[in-house]
Amino acid sequence: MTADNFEMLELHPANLTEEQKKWPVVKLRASAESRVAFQLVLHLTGAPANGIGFEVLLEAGRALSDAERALGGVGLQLTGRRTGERTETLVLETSRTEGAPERLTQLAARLTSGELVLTASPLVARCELLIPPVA
Amino acid sequence: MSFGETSPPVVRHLLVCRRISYDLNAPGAAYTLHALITQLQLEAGAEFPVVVPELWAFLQVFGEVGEYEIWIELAAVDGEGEVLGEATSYGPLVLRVPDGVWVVNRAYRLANARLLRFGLHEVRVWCGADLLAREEFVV
Repeated sequence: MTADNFEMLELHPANLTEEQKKWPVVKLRASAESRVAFQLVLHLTGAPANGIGFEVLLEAGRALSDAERALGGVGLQLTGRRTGERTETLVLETSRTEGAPERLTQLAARLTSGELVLTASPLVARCELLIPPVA
Repeated sequence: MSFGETSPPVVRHLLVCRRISYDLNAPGAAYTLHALITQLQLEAGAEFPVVVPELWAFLQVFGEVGEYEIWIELAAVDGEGEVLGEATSYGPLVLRVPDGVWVVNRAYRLANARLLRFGLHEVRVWCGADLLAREEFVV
């Protein structure tokens, strides 16, 4: 797998008028596909000027995914990617909701403490948790 | 428009859906498309024009090795495919077709999609003046 044969990317409109920027935002009607998402948002900074190669992003994502499986999960899925000024943000989700808050909290703690190293590249990694409140 | 002298890539699939996920542990079958859209249903009471926070477009192409500049366009259209009002453009994007790869997959999150009205819409993929693919849905 190389950077050349897959990619996931967030795009924004290129040609908005001032009037279009004021249009109201609406949600789509809820569907059976709607789900409770336990997300871990990974921020990688310190990217070279030409961006972070997708191999590096994969390496980081897979390291987290493997660590999540080792904690009893089923691995993480990439559900979003944003590219900024020398930054990359990956949104990762687990499809096994049982125990997900605990697993993701552990992952975040291990990453913050430096116990979990995601990539051999000299990037700064930090993450945030998006865990829906329990009803 | 490609950067070289090659023909534009061929789009095998263009699909519009509500969400795409990529399985980090299954690179050979990584993409899952959730809720393919044929009719986009907005929350009750929505009055046009509106912004939908996200739509996703899945693109699978093959073609000659090279780099291609592509644009993705979202537009309301009439029954003949003529654009009604102003289209929203996303791009330019560089699509690389590397050597030795059968197909190239791309998942694009189209943020803040502008919808002008009820009715037929299209997502279109352009490479210069070449329309590579179009996918219809109804709002």
